[in-house]
Amino acid sequence: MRAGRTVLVESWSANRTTRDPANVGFSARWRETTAGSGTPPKLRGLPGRSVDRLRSAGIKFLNTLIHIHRCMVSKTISLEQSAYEKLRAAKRTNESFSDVVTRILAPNRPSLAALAGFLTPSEAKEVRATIRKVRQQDEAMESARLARWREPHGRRRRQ
Amino acid sequence: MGVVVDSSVIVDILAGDELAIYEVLRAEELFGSPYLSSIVIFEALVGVLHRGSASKMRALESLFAQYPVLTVDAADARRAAEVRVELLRTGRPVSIPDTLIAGQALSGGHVLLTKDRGLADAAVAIGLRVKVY
Repeated sequence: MRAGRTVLVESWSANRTTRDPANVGFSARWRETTAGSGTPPKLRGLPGRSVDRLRSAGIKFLNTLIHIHRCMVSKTISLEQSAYEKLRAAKRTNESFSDVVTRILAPNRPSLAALAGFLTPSEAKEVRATIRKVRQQDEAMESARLARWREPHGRRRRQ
Repeated sequence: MGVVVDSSVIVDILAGDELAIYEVLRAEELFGSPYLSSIVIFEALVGVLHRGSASKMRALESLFAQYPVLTVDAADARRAAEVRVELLRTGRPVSIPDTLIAGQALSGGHVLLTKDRGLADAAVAIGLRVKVY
């Protein structure tokens, strides 16, 4: 590539969640004399590809169109108007459309609340006491082991 | 992302404790499907089996089989080690089972539902998302 030739980046797409679009990695559509895609020649080999660095390297940006995605990879799909309206109706505040799809299509697992009533209150009391006892035994065993480690070598041998 | 509960919460749910049931339903609504830790299953089964009821233990096992189980893998062990070291550094003692459950929750990006305020306080230091009640 001839030195000093300017690559015009027509649009770029950020691929990380950030509040600062000037400092994210990106993929770009670019134009030199003909349209292209992928990484413009002048950008190859640059350490990092943040927009600020590119600007300082003399890269000019035209019609900068910023897409901030939450994921590294996204897909574009088409929906009929009626399907879109249903999806929008299911969308909660602060929820993205991806979140809605993930929530609705999540495996239909029962709630843990479905386990309620397996134990009577007295049984639960005994189970709690057993768990507590097991943990106390473990802690006592660990303390005894720690005490043995702390003893001088000679004293341990005499025992 | 989902919800992981510790042993005290699972026993409360099994006993039909209304507050525990309310909190777990709310957590599942907010944070996603429930996951069971193999550590929690171990402790609950010890408690039930210690009462001398093998049939009840088998019944509980089949109930637990409805849920995805988190086993302790290498990534969980690594996060649990980080938790343990951070807690040692800050002088907050947490039991080994709770440390492993915290490691599982951290590793999987889950929210831990617990009644243990000590663990909840420590959570801030270790970056674990905890719902305490």
